[in-house]
Amino acid sequence: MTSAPTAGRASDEAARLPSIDVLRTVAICLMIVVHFVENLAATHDAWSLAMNRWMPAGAAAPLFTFLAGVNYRLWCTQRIARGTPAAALSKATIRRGLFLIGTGFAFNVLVWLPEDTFNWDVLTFVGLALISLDVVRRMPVSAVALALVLVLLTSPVLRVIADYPSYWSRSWFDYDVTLSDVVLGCLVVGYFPLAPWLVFPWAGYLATPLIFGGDASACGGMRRPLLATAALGALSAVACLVWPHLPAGLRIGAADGWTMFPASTAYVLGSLAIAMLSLTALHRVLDRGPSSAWTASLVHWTGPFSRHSFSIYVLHHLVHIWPLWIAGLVVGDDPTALWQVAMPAPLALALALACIVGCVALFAWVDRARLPSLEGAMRWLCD
Amino acid sequence: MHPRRIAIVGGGPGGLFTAWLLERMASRRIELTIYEARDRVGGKVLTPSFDSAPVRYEAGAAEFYDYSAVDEDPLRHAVAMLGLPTQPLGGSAVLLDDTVVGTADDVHDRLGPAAHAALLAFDERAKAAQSPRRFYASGFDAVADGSSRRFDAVMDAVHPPAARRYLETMLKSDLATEPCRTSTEYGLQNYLMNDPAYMGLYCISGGNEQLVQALAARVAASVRLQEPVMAIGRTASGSLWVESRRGGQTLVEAFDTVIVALPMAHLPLVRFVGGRLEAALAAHCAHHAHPAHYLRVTILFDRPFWRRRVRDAFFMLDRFGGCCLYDESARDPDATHGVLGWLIAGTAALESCARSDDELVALALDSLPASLGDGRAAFREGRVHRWPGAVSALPGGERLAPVDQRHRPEPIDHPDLFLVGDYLFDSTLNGVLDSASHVAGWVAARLAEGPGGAA
Amino acid sequence: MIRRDAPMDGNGQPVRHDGSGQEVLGQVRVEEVPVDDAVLELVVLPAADADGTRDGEGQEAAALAWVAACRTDTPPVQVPLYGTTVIWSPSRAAILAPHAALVAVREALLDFARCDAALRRLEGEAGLLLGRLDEDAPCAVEFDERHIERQASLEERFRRSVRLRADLADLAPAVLRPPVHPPTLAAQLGERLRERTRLADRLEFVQAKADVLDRVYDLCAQRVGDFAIARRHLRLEWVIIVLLAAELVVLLVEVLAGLGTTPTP
Repeated sequence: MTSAPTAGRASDEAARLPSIDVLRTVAICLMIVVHFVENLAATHDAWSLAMNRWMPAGAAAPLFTFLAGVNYRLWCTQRIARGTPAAALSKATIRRGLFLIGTGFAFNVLVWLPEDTFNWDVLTFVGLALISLDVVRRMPVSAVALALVLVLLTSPVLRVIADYPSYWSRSWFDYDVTLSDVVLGCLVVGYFPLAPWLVFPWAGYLATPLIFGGDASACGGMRRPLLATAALGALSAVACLVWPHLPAGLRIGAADGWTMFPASTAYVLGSLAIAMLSLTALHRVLDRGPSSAWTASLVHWTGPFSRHSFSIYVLHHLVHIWPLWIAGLVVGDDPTALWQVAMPAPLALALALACIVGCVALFAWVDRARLPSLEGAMRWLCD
Repeated sequence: MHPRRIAIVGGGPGGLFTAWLLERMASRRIELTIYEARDRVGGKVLTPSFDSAPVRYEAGAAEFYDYSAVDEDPLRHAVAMLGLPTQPLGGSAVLLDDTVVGTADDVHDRLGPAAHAALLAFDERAKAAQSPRRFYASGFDAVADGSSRRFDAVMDAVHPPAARRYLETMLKSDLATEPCRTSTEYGLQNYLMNDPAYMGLYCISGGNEQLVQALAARVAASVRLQEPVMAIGRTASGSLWVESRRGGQTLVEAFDTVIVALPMAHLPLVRFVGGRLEAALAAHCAHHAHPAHYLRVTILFDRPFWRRRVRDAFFMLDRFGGCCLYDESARDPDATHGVLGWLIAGTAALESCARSDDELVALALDSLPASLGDGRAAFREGRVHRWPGAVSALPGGERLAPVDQRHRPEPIDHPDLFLVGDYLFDSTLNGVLDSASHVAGWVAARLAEGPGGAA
Repeated sequence: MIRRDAPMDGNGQPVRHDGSGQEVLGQVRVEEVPVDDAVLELVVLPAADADGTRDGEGQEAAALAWVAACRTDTPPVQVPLYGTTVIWSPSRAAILAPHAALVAVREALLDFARCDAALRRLEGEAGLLLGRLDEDAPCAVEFDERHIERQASLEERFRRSVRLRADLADLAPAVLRPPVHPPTLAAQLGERLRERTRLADRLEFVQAKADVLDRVYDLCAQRVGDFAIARRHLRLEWVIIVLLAAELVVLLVEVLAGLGTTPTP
């Protein structure tokens, strides 16, 4: 479960930036491939095990959550420029956040299983992150930066306090439905806990003017985002390389090395660096570079993915998880009977690619026919 | 309650200013009646036109004094309130024997370094004697400088004679009398009024008469033209009666208050009835009757031929005992003709009054220096206006009565009879406004305090 | 001061008069005198006689034509006085005066030209600043995050409006100089040039504009200053809030972790 949708279609009404569309499309495709291979074939055979190990499992979620912050900043800037009052902006933000949280809980119950209601997956995280961004929006940059650093630094400590390994003894988030476990899951020990995942949307929010320029719509220079990227990369490398050599007393929070669950400090910093570098480079090439037929077709094909990322997130789970549960019930009276052993990895990969092609066709048709979608429902309900 | 009836005797600037101010100040209803002996209001402020061309000229008051550089100037304020445009007047040239002495440099170059030094010394003396502020306040001071020295003593001290002649010519038309008949203070004041730090000069664009016309248009009083007042006295019931003559008929009307706004020369023509009043007015006239005379000769020319040498709005000429020559056409930027106005003052004016108009015009033309150009060749039309005894000013050294006493000659039996006149201050239009303002304020205060008054 | 020989014609040719072919002014020296941030081309011509009765009309007309040829927005101002004539425009001027008066008249003219040039510059500056007033005036009422990018330009214009006011204060004594009495030729010419070009009125108009600019940019500066202070305070408040929130989260996690390990009875 390493996928992440965006914060809805925050910038739908704004002039679309090809860089964001392309980056988000890359993240969605990675997510579909990883989910299919992980859920259907991870432990099917030795070959699948080896193949799964090489899946870029931790790449998509940081990208999505980072882009959520970027998108939110652009959306706010454009709304404010159009004269939207601050109160209306807050209302829309909170409604969108609550919509995502509600959808996230429904998703947990319907796609996964009722006992996974409070697993704090990416949908609920992005909902909470959106609400937090409404506060961040009012805070001075220095205070946001301080908060971001505090979240990053305190996360390992909080994991030690909360005894993170005890919730992850069986390689998935195993919790009791008690108030303490539910809240701790949300804060520290769930799949996407606020600490440290809030770092990504907040960093996206802070980095937007650096990447896109002062008014978040003009073109910014390359120097500052590249410096920030380099600094983050260097810090990540330091965390990755130096941490294991520290005395055990100084090593805290099971954050050694590069791990997604829990999101280690090196992982967070490195993912951030990758996200910033990717967005900066794409912005330079696609948004500021000369337009060509190639970029035009790229924008044409990535547009539907980006616009419907939320729907695709839900849909690709439905098309491979529900058949898995049904087949499990048919084969072994347990819906999870075929979990990670349903088929060999190449087949799962082929299905993932088919799913991607299907999504392209489906959402191109949805756009053409102006059919309702999750994004449309969110806008209707929240804006 | 019936309105208070107030008579104003005299429809000159004094009467009109008094009526205008009184209507603005009165806190209760008043009924004003203005008696004017002539067929027009405005008195000495007169802007007629020539017969042969529609060209205006000033026949009476040629300019107004501007004290605003020093302090508040009520006349400037009144002109602004009436919405009248003004323009400054300036000139410093003195024509001596066909020589233009326009500046101190010219005094040096043409009259000699000694004359220049004497001019600077005289200037120093005048400025040392009076600051601009004292100059400004001089009309209100109850007492003059008390010096018995006459101005001729000061002039006698000016050497060489060229410098003296220059100064006398420059001052003559302002003094309107001989230096021996005025005080040092008054003489120096007339010199200092040429210094912009003390005073400026201006006129009303389109003619000075617009001032009195604007006042007359704004006053709601009943104006009785060609109705001279013959006598004033007190009735048995306590009010004042005014006897006037209209078309051979004698009319008598009763008033609560009477304000006599006549020039000094006309005051003896009114009979004041009542022992105390008669004596008080006789004393008042005896004190203030020091007539000064003016004569104005104005000539319309085809063109302003003199401008090649002199471009000032006015300049002094060493003829007629020293006279001021106004370039009337300089006041109108669109003027197609040239107009020169001679202001002859003092004894020369009185003596000239007896001459015929043609004689005076010829004399005026003859007085033009040859270097200015041929006046006779450009001559179109000449007009003469005589103002004998039109101005009255206390000779130097005489004590000025307190302001209240000047304006209410008999306060015991006739506290409701007032006098207004320029001669009660500095014999200028500014002075008459000061006088009118004082009386209007006083009468308005009495109206407010009296029976039925707001106070 | 540069001296150069120059023809008396705007086209670089000697000025000729009334078609007679007689060169009226001939080759004369043209001075280039710096006045404020401009340069005044000045020609000084001694009059033929001291009484002003010279045959100077042709010379005067030629000088007027030369001054008028500089093609400025302001038409030449011609002031004849007692045999002396001064012709002036913002970039060219000519003096026709008796020899004895030349130096003093020249000084008076240059003194006036400096005042006029300075005032002209300030009029331009006030005009430029007033042109931005509509844009900046809202910041005098409210200055917040939306206007932060304009802070530098507002500060710049505030500085310029203060500079304008200071320059006006510096210039006022020269423009409003009291008239000299007894009047000298040079002083009279200077006063008449000041009157003809309405220096005092123009100064008053620029001062009125400066008043408006003062008012707006003073308020803007106050708003910017208030905003900067408020922002510093706000930043501090948020830092404290963040630290408290972090402490609360740590405490909360500690409490919840403790609850989780408590054995249930």
